[in-house]
Amino acid sequence: MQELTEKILLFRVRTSRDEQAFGKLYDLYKKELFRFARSRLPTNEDADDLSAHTFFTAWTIITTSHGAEDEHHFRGLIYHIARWAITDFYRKKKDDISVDALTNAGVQLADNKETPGKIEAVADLSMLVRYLDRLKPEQKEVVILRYFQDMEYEEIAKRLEKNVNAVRVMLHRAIKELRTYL
Amino acid sequence: MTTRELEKFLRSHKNAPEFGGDYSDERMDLVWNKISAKIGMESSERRPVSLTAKDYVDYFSWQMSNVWLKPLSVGFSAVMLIFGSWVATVNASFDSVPGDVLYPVKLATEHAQITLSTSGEQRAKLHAEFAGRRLDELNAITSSNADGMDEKVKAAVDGFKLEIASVNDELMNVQNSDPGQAAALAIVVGQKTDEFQATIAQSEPQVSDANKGDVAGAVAAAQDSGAQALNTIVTSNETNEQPVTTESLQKSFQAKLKDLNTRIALSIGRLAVIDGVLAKRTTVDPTFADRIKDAKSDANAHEDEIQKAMEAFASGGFRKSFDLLAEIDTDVTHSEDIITELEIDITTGA
Repeated sequence: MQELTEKILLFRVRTSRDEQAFGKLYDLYKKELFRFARSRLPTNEDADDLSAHTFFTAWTIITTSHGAEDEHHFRGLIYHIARWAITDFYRKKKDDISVDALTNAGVQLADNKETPGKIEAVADLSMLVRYLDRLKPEQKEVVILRYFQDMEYEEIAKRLEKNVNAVRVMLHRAIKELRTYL
Repeated sequence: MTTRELEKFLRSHKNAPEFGGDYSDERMDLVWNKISAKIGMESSERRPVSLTAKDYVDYFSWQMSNVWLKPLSVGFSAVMLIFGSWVATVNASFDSVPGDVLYPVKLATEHAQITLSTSGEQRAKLHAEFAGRRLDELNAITSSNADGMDEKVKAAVDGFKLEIASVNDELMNVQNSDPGQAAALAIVVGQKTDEFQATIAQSEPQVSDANKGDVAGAVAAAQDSGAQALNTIVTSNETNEQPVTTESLQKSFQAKLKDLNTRIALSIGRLAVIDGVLAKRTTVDPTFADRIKDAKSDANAHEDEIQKAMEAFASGGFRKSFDLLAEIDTDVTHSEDIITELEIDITTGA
């Protein structure tokens, strides 16, 4: 039913440039897209910008194309746009921002004289982010979707356009590799 | 760290800002403000959206016409495009002549028609029709003064001869397998060959000397085919007299007789002109007199034979009557050749 509703909303956007219908689609996907973006970008502001860029690009595509396949899969469309935007982001930065950002965050915390427990937490997080970055991109994504966004295997498989078994295998290998670091 | 411990460790960080833990609706409202401004909304306010029955009907109608029927229409269009284009190409090729890009398409289509035909009678009629097309091409070529005319004329004439040969073969086959059908077919072929000779006569003056021999060969082929058709009709009439064959023979006989009488009268007239020209000359080549005498002999000495042929025909001796006309035709043709040579020699002073 959710899927049909989404298709009809898309239909209204495409045929009538219905802004409120697009707003509804935004509400449906804003959270997961933000988390998706934030887990790949160094700051919340970068994730905000990427979200805005992704939804605006989706609006442009939907309202200017005529019956393109992506219109029928809004989720697929926004993730496609978001991935390209993230790739473009790093192509421009050419900088391992995630590690630097965490290092800076740790320094800030230390400067702010936070409790030893918090500093330890930041250190753990810094380590985790560094190890996640060592995984293959798809393995990292599966880990994020499974453990940080609590998605079922079926949902992950649908998102990545792979079968469930492939997702299980990918996750198993990612965990195995992470265990060698931790 | 065990797998379970690792999973627990990972989940413990799910709300870390680095993994989107700082998400809040307020933050995303600010993002929406940016989006709404970029897409040109007057207000960034998002109101509840409810779907009505009309939305569902509109959606499924659109789905029906654009998603489900579209592939069908595309497939249908593709089929129409393929066959439509072929038909258009074939139609366009009908006016092509040897040397044109589409000419092979024309020949291929004809070949396909021959291949698909189921009887010798059909094939003979098709070959006769295609022979007519070759002559139409000949006419088109000779009236266009296009480059490479000689080669094109030769190609058209060769094509005509091939088709005529095929007509003869098919006619012979039909005669052996179905004599009853052969007569009707021979009548059609006979009419066609008459048309062919008339068509060739139209083109003949325009062809170059290099092609004269080719065109003469085409005339001979048409005449031979006509003779074979006539022979078939006569044979059919002899074995199984039918009103249709008798009528056809009458028409053929009258046409040939008329043609011979016309040619004889024309030859006599041309000889009279030659006599007049030579009479005005003080010195005349002595060989002219003998040649004129031969020509007059061939042109004039047919009254008896023509009478015999008419009597034979009237008594039902069709074969004999046509044989007599054929002998007269040979003599008249010989006379015409002599007269033509005389005219040339007198004109050029040879």
